[in-house]
Amino acid sequence: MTQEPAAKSTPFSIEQALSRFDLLIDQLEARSPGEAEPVVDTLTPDGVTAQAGAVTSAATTAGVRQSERPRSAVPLQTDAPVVLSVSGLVKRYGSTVAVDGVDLEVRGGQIFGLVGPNGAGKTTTLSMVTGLLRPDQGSVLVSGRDVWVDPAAAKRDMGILPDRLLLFDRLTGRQLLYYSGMLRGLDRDTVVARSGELIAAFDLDDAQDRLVTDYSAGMTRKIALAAAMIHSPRLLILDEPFESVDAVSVATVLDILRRYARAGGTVVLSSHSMDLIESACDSVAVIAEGRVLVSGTTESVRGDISLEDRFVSMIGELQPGEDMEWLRSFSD
Amino acid sequence: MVALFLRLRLAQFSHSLRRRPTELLGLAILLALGLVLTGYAIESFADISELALGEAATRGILSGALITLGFLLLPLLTVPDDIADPRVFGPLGLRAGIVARGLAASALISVPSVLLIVTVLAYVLAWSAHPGVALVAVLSGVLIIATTVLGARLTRSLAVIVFSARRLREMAGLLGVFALLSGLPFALSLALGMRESSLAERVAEAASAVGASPLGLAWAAPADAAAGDIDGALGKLTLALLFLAVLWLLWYALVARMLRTRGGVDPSLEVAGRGLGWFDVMPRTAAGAIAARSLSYWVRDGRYKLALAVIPVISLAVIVPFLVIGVWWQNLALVPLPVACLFIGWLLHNDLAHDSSALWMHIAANVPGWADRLGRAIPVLALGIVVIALLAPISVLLYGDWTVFPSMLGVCISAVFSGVGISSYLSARMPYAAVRPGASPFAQPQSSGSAAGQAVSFFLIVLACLPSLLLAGMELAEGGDWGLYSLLAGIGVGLLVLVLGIAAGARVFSRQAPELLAFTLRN
Repeated sequence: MTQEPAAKSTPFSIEQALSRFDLLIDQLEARSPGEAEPVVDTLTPDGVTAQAGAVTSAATTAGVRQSERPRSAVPLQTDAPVVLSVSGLVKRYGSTVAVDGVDLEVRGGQIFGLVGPNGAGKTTTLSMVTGLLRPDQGSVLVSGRDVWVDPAAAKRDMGILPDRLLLFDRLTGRQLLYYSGMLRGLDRDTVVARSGELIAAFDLDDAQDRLVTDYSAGMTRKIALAAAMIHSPRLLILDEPFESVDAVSVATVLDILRRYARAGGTVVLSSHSMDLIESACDSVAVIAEGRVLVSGTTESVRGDISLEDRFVSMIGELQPGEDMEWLRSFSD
Repeated sequence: MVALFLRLRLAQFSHSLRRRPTELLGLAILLALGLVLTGYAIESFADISELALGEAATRGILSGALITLGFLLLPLLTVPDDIADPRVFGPLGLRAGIVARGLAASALISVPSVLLIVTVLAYVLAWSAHPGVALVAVLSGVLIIATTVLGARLTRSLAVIVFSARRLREMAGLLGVFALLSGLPFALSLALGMRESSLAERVAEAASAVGASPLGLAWAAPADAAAGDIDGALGKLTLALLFLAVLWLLWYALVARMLRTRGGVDPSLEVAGRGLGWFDVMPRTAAGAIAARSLSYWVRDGRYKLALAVIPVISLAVIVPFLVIGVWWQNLALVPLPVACLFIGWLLHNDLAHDSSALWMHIAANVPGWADRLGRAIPVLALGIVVIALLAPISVLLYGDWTVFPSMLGVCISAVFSGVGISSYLSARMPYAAVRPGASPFAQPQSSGSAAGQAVSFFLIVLACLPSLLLAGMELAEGGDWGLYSLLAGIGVGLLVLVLGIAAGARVFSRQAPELLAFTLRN
């Protein structure tokens, strides 16, 4: 449904595209009224209770919060198709196990957050999910197609923004967008029209004819994000999309992502900013030491404290800090 | 006002000594090098009073012109962070004349300038030993110093303007090395030519030509005077003075311009307009886009430009030793082009590693292996074909016998096509660590690892050229139809290796793309 040709009507603005998304949402809602029973797709390890009933109440108590932080859409639907299914993913480097059996299930039409402390294996997991890093074990299915068995079909549905990888930065921003579009096999007119809209949406007009190597870190992030979207994928996998992006741009990008999710698109993003994940994501998975500790709707994972507190308490149990007695007995 | 500039310069000078010990050591080594070069120049000038007039003139003019040339080119080599940049004085609202005079005068206070003055003093003293030359020698000495110091000052500021964009700055060092490399054969032939009497004549001719050029005018004047040609000497002095005046006008205009402009704007991007550059030219497919991207990199990226710039130097340098030992130049006219073609075919052999981790874009889009390989090959193939089309007729024309034309084509086509094929395969199969994008092309890669691909690819390309090369040899030896066979063999082998290489490279790329990305990440 996101594959609609955005280029056909000529004086085309991102606003129009977004309003069309809105229309689509309305239609979806009209088709299934009242069925939106907010039940959670749960994956509950020990200690985390995420029963459906508890979550429903959590969702209602969180109603106030929800209004101040608008999420992508109507409550999650359990009958939404599973867009991304990861099972038993393992990656070892010598004797260290970077990712130790990660299972994830992400349903369509939502923003899914991946949080975890530094070195938890987020980037490694996402690299394997996106087909950039060959896993030692496990499988990754995108809309039912295995990334590592049928990469052509799986990658067509996926737009990705890796962390810490370079772009072809000796191209101008516009050339880079064109390049990604052509690599994806789009036709020229579509690419040109879409790049124009993306450049406008990400507020890169002034920079579009400058070399990407001369961009600031935040601008580079934005042009990479635009490049990830140009083939209108069903699934966006974004590793630290908001790193060094300014607050205004974060709001803009989040707005775009929410509308995208409301139109049926799926976003999987990782971040170390709890606030951001809490306000942006419908579901989260907490990952630490290469394993998924808990996964579910943001409300169910959070309980009645903030996501950050929940996260800290979970990770804290996992990694009890040293006493560091010496730090309190100051030397003179 | 000029005195103020001089005081400023002295202050800068003393500040530049306040550095960390390691940096001071580097400076000391550079200084020692400068002193040694100066000593060497003084010693060679000291003989001037004793040598025969002609030989003395040759030596004086050639080494003198070399010194002036060095002063003009060295500022291009160094990173242009000019602390005496005229733009710094912009906010002060000084008149351009004052800044131009002040900066030119303060340029005299530098280690190279002082060493130059000492060297020129030795030159003047040596010629003054000849009767009636003293006045001309002193005048030319003054002109030499003024011209050289002002010229160096001018190129330094020009370098700042021309190379203002960061990417172009890489080009600066590149040009410098280019100049050095092309100067090398000249120095070599000079050193060898001094010994052999037959070549000494040709060197003397070269010296008189250099003596009539702006670089050598002032250096040549004393020699003319010593030979009794006072009118010639005065004429040269006048022309040298004129050249100095031209330099001054240029310097003045440059300062005036630099005082007005602030900051650097890269002009190449202002004219970019609404087009997509090479992307507009290439086919509208994935392979076409990759070809356009490669082309953009060949013209924008210092690492690629260095590789391109070295090719003409190498292919010409190859024949220098033969020239020096006296092989007739027409027989050598056939050599440079095939050598250039060999290196053009070799250009791609580590292309993938140059992408660094940006390679992920190809993997994420699941670009088919053949599109990746073919796209990268297209610009190099195009370059090779253009070079062959332009230079093959010229080479054969210089050689003077058109019967070798088919075999010339055969060898060159074989080198380019099979070279691209082999490189396409090996850049996916045996990549090795490359300089990261944006780093200086002269930087060493961060991790070394095996660079076997380098040697293997070169060896294989030479191997693939052997059939047409051998047939071309038969043609040269016996004539007849061998040339035609050489052409056929070249085209046949070239196309076969090209297709096989791209297919094999595509297979490796498709299967091992993630491993290739992991490889680029390790660097």
